[in-house]
Amino acid sequence: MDIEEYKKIIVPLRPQLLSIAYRILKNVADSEDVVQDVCLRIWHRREEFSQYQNVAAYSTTMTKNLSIDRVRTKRYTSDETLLENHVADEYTPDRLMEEKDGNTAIRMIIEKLPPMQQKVFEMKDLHGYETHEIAASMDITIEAVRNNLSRARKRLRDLYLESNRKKKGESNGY
Amino acid sequence: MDIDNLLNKYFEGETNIEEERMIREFFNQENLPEHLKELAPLFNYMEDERVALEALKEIKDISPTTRQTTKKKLTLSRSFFISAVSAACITAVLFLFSPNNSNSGENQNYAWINGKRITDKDMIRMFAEKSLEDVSSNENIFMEQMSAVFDEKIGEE
Repeated sequence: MDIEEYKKIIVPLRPQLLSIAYRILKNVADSEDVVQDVCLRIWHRREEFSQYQNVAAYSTTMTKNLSIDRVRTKRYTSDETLLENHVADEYTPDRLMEEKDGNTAIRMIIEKLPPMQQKVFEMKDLHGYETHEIAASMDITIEAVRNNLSRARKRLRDLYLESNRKKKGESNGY
Repeated sequence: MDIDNLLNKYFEGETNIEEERMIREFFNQENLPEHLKELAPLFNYMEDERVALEALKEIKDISPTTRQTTKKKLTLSRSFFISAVSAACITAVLFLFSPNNSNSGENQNYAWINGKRITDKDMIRMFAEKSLEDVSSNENIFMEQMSAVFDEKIGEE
């Protein structure tokens, strides 16, 4: 599946997924976030879908699950201090090692970064914003953006490399 | 380009967008230094996701918002529905047969969707098909509502 084929799948699917998410979340911004997340997962698993042609079923289930997860997470991280420092059920390299697909392991690490680090990382490395734009948008200092970004990137690198080395070690038989 | 220094800067959170683009481009090549091969999937993942995010942004910009796609029950009157469809048809006919339009030398393969000018024929076709589906589902909702009202009245009697 190339990017043009991907667009053709997503255009008719997106309104249905938004309706499903909105029914659970009752919030437009959260619904948009969940649907974007689902669409990204479809993109990262595009090879499987071109084989099984089950994108609609997968995305519907995934939208419901992620929406319910988000309702639960919102209840849990309603405290601001918690939002900044909380590391939710962090994945260990051993747990990540079980993931056969490298992309899934990377996505799992990103999702489990503390919320502030995750947001800064996504804005910088995935959406392509400059540091000062992120600082203005999140109402934090440029130094705070750099600190969170640095921690997020190092954490992602360290956890990924560690799980990768363990995986290779296991496949080499020791 | 000193890639090791650039990477150190990256992991300290001190690179700008241009330097980050250079890093992703570097990791997209086949002959990577041995000590950096392990990092390639990370940067390739980011590049891959950026492509998808751009596509999703493009789709989002020309799609109706969630509130618009949420079906509004009991608010759509049949006369409003018929008027809207008629007005759209008349506008389309006037537009297609207007002399200025047919004589202009500009490329006519475009449509306005939610205020955006779209030139991609496939994208236009998909939105047109989706709109027709919505029209049909709205009509179904109307018929369901009408039958529910009449059923209630029959029940009352």
